[in-house]
Amino acid sequence: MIKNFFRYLFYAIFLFVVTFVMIPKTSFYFMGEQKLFKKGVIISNEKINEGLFSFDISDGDIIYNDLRFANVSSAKLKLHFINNRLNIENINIAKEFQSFVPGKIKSIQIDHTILDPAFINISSTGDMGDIDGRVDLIKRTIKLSLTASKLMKSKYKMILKQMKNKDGIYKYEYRF
Amino acid sequence: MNIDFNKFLKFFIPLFIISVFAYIVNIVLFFLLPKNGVDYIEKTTHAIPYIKVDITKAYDLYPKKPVQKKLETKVVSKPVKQEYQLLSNIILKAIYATANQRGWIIVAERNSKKTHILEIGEKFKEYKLIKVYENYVIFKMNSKEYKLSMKKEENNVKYEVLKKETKKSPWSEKIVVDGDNVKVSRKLMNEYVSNLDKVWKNIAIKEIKENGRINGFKVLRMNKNSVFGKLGLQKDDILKSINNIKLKSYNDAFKIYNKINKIDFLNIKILRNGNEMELNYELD
Repeated sequence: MIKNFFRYLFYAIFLFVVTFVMIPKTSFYFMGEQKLFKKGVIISNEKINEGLFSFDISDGDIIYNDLRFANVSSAKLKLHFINNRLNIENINIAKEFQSFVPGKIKSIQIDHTILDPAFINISSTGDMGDIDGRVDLIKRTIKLSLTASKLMKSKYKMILKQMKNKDGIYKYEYRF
Repeated sequence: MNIDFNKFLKFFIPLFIISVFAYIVNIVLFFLLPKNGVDYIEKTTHAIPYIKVDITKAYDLYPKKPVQKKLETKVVSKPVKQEYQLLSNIILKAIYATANQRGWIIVAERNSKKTHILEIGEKFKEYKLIKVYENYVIFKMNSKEYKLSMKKEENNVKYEVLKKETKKSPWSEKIVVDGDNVKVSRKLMNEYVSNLDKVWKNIAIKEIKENGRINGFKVLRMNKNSVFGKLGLQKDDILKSINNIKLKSYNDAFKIYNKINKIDFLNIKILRNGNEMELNYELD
């Protein structure tokens, strides 16, 4: 009985791994691009690199409503079965938008684990300061907490006004 | 060494079947999912860049009359900046100005409704018309020159930006009216370009949509004492195009914003009370 259980568990894990290796990751990425396009977002000029358990894009321009908004130097998706991570590095906001938002985001890390499947954790650092956040897939909410940098407090007060200040931490909540 | 092929097959055949199953599922997915992503192709604009050109000057198209030729030489020899006495008993009703301070005007006496059309060189009440500018004209009598300006409400095509003032206003060095030209200091423009907070404090605009597409931006709120007020913009004006670039998206507006440092002239077409108007500035 136990022997059979472990045998079927092994087959299930094997199926999972083989599917992960074979899955057409680039095609899924193209599907994501087309969904974003409907919302006015285009990722353009990016280089795509598909690995067995990873998917990387580098040097992509983000265009929003026909406006070249930012350049992303690299985004790496690592599929580790239990814990999956998307790591985005060096987002440089276009000069003409730097009057509205801080110019550089050093990194954004998005984690999802099958041990806590209803949530996605987000952390980010950059000119704006440090952000920690959590996406609740059931309640469909995004909650972000920003420890604002000096630059953010002095130059981008307009953004901070949109957030609730609680003990020096700026909170933002969004429903999707 | 004996190999138990039965055990071997019993272990590997299910793995093989799982692999084939996963392969088929992924092949199906591959055919169902899109093969191409989305790339951005920059839209090329066919709008002709705005250049201020005086065609009559360039091709010497103005009709040459002997009397006018004489006057032209006189006009050129005069100093550019001159203090004029103002005419108070004559009303300037309309101006038709062409190049080289020439053109025709319609005037009337203050206490009379009768209007007179005057050409360069012609006299009205002993005042001889010698120069025609876009917003004012110069008369001459007994070797003295007199200035006659358009009344603001009668000038429905152009706008008044800043009169020559005796008192120095904070804008006088930054927005200068020199004859027909309105010169805006580039430093002043850069102050606003580099500090958008300052822009949004003084003006609020909203896109105007026609058939679901943006067709200009409406001025919702504006501080009259700000640079926007001094430049002639008014609340409820609809900005239609800037330097021949029609404002049909936020991108069009940003195209101007990005090029502002390379632009020498600004031509803004607006819709005010249903009438199309043009605002022209020179960036100095």
